[in-house]
Amino acid sequence: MIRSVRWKGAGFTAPFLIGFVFLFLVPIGYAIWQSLFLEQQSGLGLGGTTTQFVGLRNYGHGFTDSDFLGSVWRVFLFACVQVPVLLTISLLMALLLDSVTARAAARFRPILLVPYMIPGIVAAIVWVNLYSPLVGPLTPLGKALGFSWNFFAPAMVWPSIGNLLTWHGIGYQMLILYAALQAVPRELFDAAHVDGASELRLALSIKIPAVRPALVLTGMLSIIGMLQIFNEPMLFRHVTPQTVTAGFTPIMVIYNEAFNAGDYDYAAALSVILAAILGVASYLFYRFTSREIA
Amino acid sequence: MICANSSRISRTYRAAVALAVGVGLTISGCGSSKSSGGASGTAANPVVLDYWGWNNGQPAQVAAFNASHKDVQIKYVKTQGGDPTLQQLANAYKAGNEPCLVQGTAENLTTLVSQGELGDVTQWVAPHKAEFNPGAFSGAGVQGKIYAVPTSSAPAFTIYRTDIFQQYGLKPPATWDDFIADGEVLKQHGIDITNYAGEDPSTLVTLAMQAGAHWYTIDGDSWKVDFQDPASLKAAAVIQKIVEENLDSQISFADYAAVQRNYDNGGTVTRQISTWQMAGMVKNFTKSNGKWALSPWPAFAGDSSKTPAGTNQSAGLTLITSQCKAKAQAAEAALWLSTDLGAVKTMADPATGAGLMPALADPSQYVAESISAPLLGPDYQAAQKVVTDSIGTVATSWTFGPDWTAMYDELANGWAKVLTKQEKLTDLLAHMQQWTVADLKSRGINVEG
Repeated sequence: MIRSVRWKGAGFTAPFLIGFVFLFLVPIGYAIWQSLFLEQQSGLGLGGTTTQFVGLRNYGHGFTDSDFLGSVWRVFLFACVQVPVLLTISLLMALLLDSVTARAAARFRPILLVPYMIPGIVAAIVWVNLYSPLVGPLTPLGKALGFSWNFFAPAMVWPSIGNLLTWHGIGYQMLILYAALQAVPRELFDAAHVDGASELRLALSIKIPAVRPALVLTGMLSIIGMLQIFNEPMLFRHVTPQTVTAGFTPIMVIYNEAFNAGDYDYAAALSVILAAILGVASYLFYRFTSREIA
Repeated sequence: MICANSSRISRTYRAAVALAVGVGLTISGCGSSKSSGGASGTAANPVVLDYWGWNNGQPAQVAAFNASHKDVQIKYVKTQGGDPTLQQLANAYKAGNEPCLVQGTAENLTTLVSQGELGDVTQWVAPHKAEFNPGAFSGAGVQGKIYAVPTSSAPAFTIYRTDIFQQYGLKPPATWDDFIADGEVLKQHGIDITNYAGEDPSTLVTLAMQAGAHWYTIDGDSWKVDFQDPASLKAAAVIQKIVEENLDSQISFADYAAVQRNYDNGGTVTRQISTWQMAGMVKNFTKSNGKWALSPWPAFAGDSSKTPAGTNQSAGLTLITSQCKAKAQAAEAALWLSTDLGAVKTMADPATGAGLMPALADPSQYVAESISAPLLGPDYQAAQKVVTDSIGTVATSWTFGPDWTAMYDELANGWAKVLTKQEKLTDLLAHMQQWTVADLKSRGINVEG
């Protein structure tokens, strides 16, 4: 009877397991399988293709592909700047929200969440239009103030994308950090006030260390997200293809290989390599940050 | 108690299963029928051909075909066009359900053949070769086999602003040297002579074609790749000069409104076009309608005037696919769409169709309709001669290679760098030489050079 109850309980996870198997495990397995093959042609190439088993040749090609490795390095550098900026601003907003009364906080929270409620593609399209030197309002505004900024210039592309991502992601990060802050016992603050600590000292010495696990979590999610950005560069590429090349980010390289060059096998190998890189990066980040926690 | 529970549960369970089965049957019944009817059809059981296209005017052509044919019917599906449709075709090929007819352009034909996606229709189309002009027909096949029926020719010429040219005392350029000289004069007044979009290397391709380059040639059982022959370098020199002296504006077609507004405002004053671009121009212009004129495509100094073969300047084709079960009927349908006078007239008109110059051997009767009177104003009559003259000068000896689509993407990347002066065109051509040879070799295709 107990065993049947256990099976019935496990049966409730069946929908998730079915989805997980068919939407994750099977495609990942198929991608790994596909990455071991290559389409080959012969002669003039006008007679169609045959599929050959080539083992790890695609992986060898991937690890020496300067386009792919360059794109990985590019997003890594971007993440090194973007993630701390995003976390700092989100933390600041969370701390500010925490230091006002609950009623005021409840009024501001939805407003800060509005950017996050907008779907990513829509946000990117809106910002691309704002940035447009010919039809957007920001460039004339800058001219009126005496600046001539071009958001699509090669040097400005990353700040433009970073601004868009920050605007979009602040609400979500801030909510997580704010919830973690709310969990800090209020008696600590009273004790600190009795000891004569200012609000700033309170924030630096008590609040921030208390939310470190949440910071690690949001940091790791941000890194994984940044290394996989695709929507925003693709939309920017539409308006400024001379600065955002076809292989600007790793996922764009994979997309290009699969759908423009038609080389599904090589794209599968690159996907596996990217997943491995992400896994290693997440693991290292987690080890590095959790070692410092007592 | 347990028995009562389980019977209640099993009743709900049975109802759920019945519902799921019922929904499943309904959904499967809604599936669209693919090219059906087998190899021959009758009026009662016609052969249905799926046709993927995106040009304005095709639904009207298909309706006319369906009205006049009883044993063959066309089912039209409007697709997005360009790269997305190529990707959809590749996916359909993998899934085994390609449509019978697909709209395409000459530049992608060899790539599609090498991926096995097109069907050989030489026996049905070759007898009609004389009905088409050589420039258009040369894009319908490769290595002696025909895989498509041409739909449009690509006469190409320059369109320029008469008022601005008059203001600065310039004559429409007859050679590329004149073009650069005119551009230098206009530059002093803050005007660009041409627009090079950052994602569109077709300028380099068309100029190389015009100069007589052959990037891909078939040599026996092997391809010969040469991006650095004197003709390509001659074309590169012209473009390099224009870029270096900043005679070009660099607005991407992705910002389509901005491109058109720039032409309308006189920020850029010439454009190398065929007939179909005029519809977009006249629709988007508010100030400059009536102030444009046509002149022949500039020649290289000392060469005869030789306009390029179709690129995305629309040597349009109707492709017949390899998985089509009714290739004979598909070829006949495609021929009808390209040669029936009513269908051709519909497509040639910029209002009812796409303003495409037909691929017929003598399209001169359609010239007046395919160009825009409001756009050209007083030049409308003289422009017709420019168009008619240019039809016969389209290059016919250009071959598109089997990895053209992938090569073109790589070229577009480098082209963007050339426009932002991070790279020279000669270096780009050298890179493309090395990249293309490596790419063909990695696909297992024989290549020399």
